[in-house]
Amino acid sequence: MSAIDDKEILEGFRNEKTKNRCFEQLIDKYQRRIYWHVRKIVIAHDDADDVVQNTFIKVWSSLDGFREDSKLFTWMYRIATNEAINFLNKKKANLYNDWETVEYSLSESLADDPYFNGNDIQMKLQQAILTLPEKQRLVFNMKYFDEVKYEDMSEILGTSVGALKASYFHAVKKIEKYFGVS
Amino acid sequence: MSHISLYNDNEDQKLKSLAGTESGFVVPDGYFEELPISIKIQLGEISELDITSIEKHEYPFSNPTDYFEQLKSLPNKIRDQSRIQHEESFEPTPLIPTNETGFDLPDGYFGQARYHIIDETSHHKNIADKGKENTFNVDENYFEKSKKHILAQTTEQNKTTGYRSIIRKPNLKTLMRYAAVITIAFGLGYFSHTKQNIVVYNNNGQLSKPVIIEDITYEELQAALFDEDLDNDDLIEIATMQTPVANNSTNKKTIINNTNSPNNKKQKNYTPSPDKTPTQQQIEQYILDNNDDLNSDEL
Repeated sequence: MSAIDDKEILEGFRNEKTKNRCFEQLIDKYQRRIYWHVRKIVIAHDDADDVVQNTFIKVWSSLDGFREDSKLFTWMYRIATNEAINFLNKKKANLYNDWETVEYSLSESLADDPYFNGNDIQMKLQQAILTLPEKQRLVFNMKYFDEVKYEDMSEILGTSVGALKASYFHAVKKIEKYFGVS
Repeated sequence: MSHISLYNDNEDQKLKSLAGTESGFVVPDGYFEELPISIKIQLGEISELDITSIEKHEYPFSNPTDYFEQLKSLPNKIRDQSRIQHEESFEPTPLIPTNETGFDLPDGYFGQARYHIIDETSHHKNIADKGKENTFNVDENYFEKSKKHILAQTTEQNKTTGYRSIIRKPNLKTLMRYAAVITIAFGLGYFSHTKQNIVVYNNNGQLSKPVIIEDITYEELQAALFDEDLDNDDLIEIATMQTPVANNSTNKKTIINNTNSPNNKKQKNYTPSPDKTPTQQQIEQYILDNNDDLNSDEL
């Protein structure tokens, strides 16, 4: 299926006759990007699956009210990011004493994850990323893997471009330190 | 000596043979070179005897070979010293003035910084390239299945309102947590089959989201139950939102203790205090209140 323009999706979604079909096209277009974004935050596939489903259901519920002040893509990324962070916060509240133990748990779970098939260096990189503070981890993943522009990231995370660049810089330094790069 | 004396009869004859000049007049070769000296001599500034020394002074190295010959004759030490002094006296213009912002930079900073950046970029790139490729994986048909689940839920939501608006398919971990409850519910006859909408909430009265249990058998639930080691004090209360087979009560509820914990094999049924039992309206309101945190500023 060829990628449909966001504007066409929005127009189609507002028409009751084409609403369902356009939403399906929206899922086709963004499902994978949203999934991988969420997956890198929550790590486990099952958790990512839950968060992605919740994300799209919220998109469904709120798309009528989307004012197009931002790009559809950044708006959905923002919902997905909030859902993923809320998910981890609930996990923290339910199962762990503090955030570090959640991160530690995520890092440990990497080795047992049947859906993780990276080699040693990839595993080490992911573990290094999981040592980062939450905000830096988000910024690093979005910039490093997804190659999201700082301007778009600023809309998604509600943070200035300068602060994002600083976060990315510190994240890179910490990862290099983790890897023992002098 | 007058300038007229510069010309003799022979030269006069020679001049006449020259032609083609713009003004019609020509001068002998070397005239303009000799003229300043002639004038100075006429003015009495220098004598005719000094002419030779003046010429040598004015053109000391008219032949470049003489210069290098003299240079070669200098002692090596003097030559080296001359070179050092020459290099020390050379001060390149800085590319970026260091005093514009009030901050000084170490010598060579910008050159070094460039190499650092290149190193970091290449190193960074190597890690990224490796990390990007197949680090995580999913089943081949996952995305298609996930899309169906999403569409099923949104279609359901399109038709109904209230608590059904956020029904979702739980993952295995969630199922495990519900398994004990559902198993007991089977035993008590609350459910005729597994495809039910149920609401699960814990002993603090906090509601989870409603879930649809679908495509899972009682045996599968049991298997999940035996795999899960729930916490000993994990009390979970359930309330059916549809009419159960064995009981027509809309909000039939039970609280059970985890019967599968190795530390506690006892099952306990009791009715919770009324203030902890939410009404249908409260449940729906709770769900609606928790269904929209799009404006969260937690980030």
